[in-house]
Order: sequence, then C-alpha cells, then structure tokens
Amino acid sequence: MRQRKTLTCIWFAFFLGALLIVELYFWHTVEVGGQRAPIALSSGRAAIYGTVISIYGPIIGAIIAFWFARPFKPAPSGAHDAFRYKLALGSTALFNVVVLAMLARYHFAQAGMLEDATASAKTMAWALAFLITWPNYFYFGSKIPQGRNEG
Amino acid sequence: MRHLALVGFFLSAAIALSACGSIDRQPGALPDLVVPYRSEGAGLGGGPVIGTAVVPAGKSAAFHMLASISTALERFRASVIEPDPLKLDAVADEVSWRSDVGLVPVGLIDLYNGSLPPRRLANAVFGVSFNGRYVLRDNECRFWISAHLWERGGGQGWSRINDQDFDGRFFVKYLVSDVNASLVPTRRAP
Repeated sequence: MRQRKTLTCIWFAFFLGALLIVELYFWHTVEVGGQRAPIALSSGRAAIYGTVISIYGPIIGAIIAFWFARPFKPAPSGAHDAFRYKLALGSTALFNVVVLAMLARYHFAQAGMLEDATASAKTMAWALAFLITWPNYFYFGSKIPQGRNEG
Repeated sequence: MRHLALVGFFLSAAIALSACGSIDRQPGALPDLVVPYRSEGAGLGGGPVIGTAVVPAGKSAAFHMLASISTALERFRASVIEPDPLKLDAVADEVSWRSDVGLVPVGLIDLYNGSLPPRRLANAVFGVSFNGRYVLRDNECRFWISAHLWERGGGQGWSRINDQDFDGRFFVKYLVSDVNASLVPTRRAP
C-alpha cells in the first residue's frame, strides 16, 4: 500500500509543479517595446490552468477513483506487483519530466506565443499518454491480495 | 413615575433625532466626487471624437486625408489597414477607415496615468487601434475617430479592454493633433 501512496503523491507533486510553472508566467516579466510586462496577464489564467488540468485531470482522476474501487485482478505474485510498480514509476517520471520541460520552456525562450507553447505541451502529453495510462491504470486498479506485503 | 416616563420619552426622542441626523448627514458629509469622464456620450472609451480639419481642395482630398491619418498613426506604430490607400476612390467624399493595433509608447502611458483615467495602465503591454470616418466638403473635412485600447502579456496576443475602462479621447487627441500638423504645410503651400 505504501508504494501506491508514494506513486499517488508523486503524481500530485508533478501536478502542483506544473501549476507552479504556469503560475510563474503571471509573475515573470519580460521587456516588450521598452516596457516590462508579465509574460501572461491574469485574464488568461483560466485558459492556461485549463490546459494543465486537461493534461493531468484524466490520470489523476483515475488514480483517485482506483483508491475507492479496484476492478482488475491482482498481480500473480509480489514480484509481479513490484515490477508493475517500477514500470509505473519509471513511465510516470519520464512522462512528467517531458511535460514539465515543455511547460517551462517559454520561461527560457520566448519565441512565438505562450498559448502555442502550452498547446504543444498538451499535444506532447497526449502523444505520450500511452506511457502512463495503462501502467498506472493497471497498477492502481489491481486488487491487493490479503496479507501481501507491498514493501 | 411620570418624571421617569418623561425622561424616557426625551431620551428616545433624542436618540431617534440623532439617528435621523446621521442619516441625513451621510450624503452631505462626503465631498462631491469630481468625475473627469462622462459615463455616456462622445469621448469615453471607444466613443467617437468629432472634429474638423482643413484639407486641400481637389480631386485627391480623400487620399490626402488618408495619407495624413497614416502619417499620424506612426506615433503609435500603427497603420491603416482598411481601405487600401492604393485602391481608394480618389473622388470619394466619404471614407471609413480603421487601423491595426499599435504599441502605446511608454511615455504616453505615463502621461495617460497622470490624467486620472478610469483605470491606470500598468503591468501589461498596451496597444491602441483607431477607426473612423470622414466626410469631405470642398476643403473641409469632418471626421469621427474612435480609439480602442488593447492589452497583452509578453507572450500573449492582444485582448481588447472594455470601453468603460479607458478614456479614448486622450489617444484621439494626439492623433488629431498629428493629422492637423501634417495637413498644415500642404494647406500653406502655394
């Protein structure tokens, strides 16, 4: 159970990290036409946050749901379960590093529009969804046999 | 007992009177607000500013006026996008035009903020666009010009500011001044 809790916390940490990265766009100022202005105005907050939520919503929503119902059969053994955990952990880390890098890119190179940068992060996230969807869904959705020590 | 009743009556009357007095005083106690901008009518926000200019009489007056407007828009780094000056009917006596969005210079923002506007311009990049119409009669040009204010972040596109939140006359004033300035030398030419 501890591994599942850890992985859930990791997901929430990356989600908060992503929100923090986009929040900084409303505070990070750049010079345009001789005047300093934040990269994004508050009026655009809903749209930018919406993009982040659309990336993380489906997977975090499913993880939360699997804490209440586990529809899948348990792993055949503890070793299988441990491997599933490593697979879910590795794919989660890879996915989130890519998505956070894409979201943060505009802080360092202001080329084009921020909206395009966040849209491309979303496109990349959806393209990489295969990495995280099934490993996490099956890991969190599998029943845990009574007495199995998860480590 | 009767004295007590009398005292009670006067006390309650005094409290009631003082309460009424405080209600009456409230509006009078506040100084009249000086509102520098009219909430309706010409000049506020995108409302039109109306004026006249003297243009050289002749077949090219419509073009001449549009050229002067184009020159005046340079202050805002904007340009006329409609109508196409090269396709303008030279004998047109009525022309509607509009500009793209140009950056408001920093110095102008400071001046604007100093004029007690409805909303201070800060923490954003500001742009202004104009649209207008002019009617030519002999060598007199009657014009209507409206300003629209835009804002954006460093990485965003323009979004239009509500017309109630700025004073368009401030920006039109500069445009009209520049239009007149570019017309005067031509008018005095032999």
